[in-house]
Amino acid sequence: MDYFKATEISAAGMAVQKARVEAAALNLANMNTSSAPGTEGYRPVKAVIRVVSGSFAQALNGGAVRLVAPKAELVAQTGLPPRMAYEPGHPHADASGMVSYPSVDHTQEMMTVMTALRSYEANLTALQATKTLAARALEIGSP
Amino acid sequence: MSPTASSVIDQVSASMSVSSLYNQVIASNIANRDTQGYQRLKLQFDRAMGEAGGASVTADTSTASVSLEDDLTTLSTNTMQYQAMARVLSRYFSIVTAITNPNRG
Amino acid sequence: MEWGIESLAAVAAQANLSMAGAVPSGAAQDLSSPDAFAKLMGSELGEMNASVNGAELAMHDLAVGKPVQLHEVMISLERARISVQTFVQVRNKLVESYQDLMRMQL
Repeated sequence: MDYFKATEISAAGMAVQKARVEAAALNLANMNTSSAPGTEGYRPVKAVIRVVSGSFAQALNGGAVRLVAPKAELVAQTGLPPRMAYEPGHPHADASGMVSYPSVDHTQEMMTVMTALRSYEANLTALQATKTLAARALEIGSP
Repeated sequence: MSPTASSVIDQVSASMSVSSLYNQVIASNIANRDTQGYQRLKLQFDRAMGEAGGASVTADTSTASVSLEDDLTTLSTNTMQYQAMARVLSRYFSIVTAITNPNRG
Repeated sequence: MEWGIESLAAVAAQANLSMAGAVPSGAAQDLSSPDAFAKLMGSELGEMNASVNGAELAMHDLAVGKPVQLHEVMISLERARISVQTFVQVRNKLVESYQDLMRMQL
């Protein structure tokens, strides 16, 4: 039945937004975890969202354009300069009294959470719309 | 001639198929808002809407940015259109039933 | 309505057919011939059959999981239902008229 395509896509969209929130939550939870000098601390994660080739791709009208579902992958970011704070008494302070923390921008992560939530709800609305279409079609012929 | 051989029914049915397809397109655009390299989709009508028109999905190459609210509004309008046509069909069928079967409503 | 009033009137006429009376629309039937009754029933039956077959096909596609449009299946079923009801109406009226006729001759 053709309503399954739209349902799968909306469900995938919701999963993707959930992954974005998870990434932000992980980063926020670890942002104040310092690391000893010379060691690598927590690496902030990012939700990388790509199109799934194959399984979700659905051909339309002879395959010219495909409807695709997204998929998110949490990827640890490398090479980010750590956030340094001057705390001379800290056990992880280096020779100049600087402590290294993960490079996490609190404001940015909160913004991500808010937009992800909004997008999650939008995907849910799209799912409801698909359900409504199916329900209305089934009512054809009932007085 | 069959009482339900009306081409009006076929037109409404084709229109509903277009709305159903549009629903999938909008769902895809909403779900892929943050997808890398995603090309937004839109419907292109193969024939004039007056005829039992078909529509196909094409890439939306316009550069105007569409907000999430715009997508949701379009979704809502499309859903209402589909619902209206389904309801209208039911009414139409009950009219035909009333004419061809006067004993049963 | 596009296919409108005249077709509706023709269908209504069929439903209230009397043996002495109207010729059904679309069928060049000579009611005085002995098998006119059978021919009329035959053509009505054929149309009904076609619509029921269409509905069954749509149902099968849906059950098997083919990407069929749900509203098309419902429309197909509704058309079949109306077609069957119409056929039954026509049949009842024709049988009634036939019985009237048989009674008259006795």
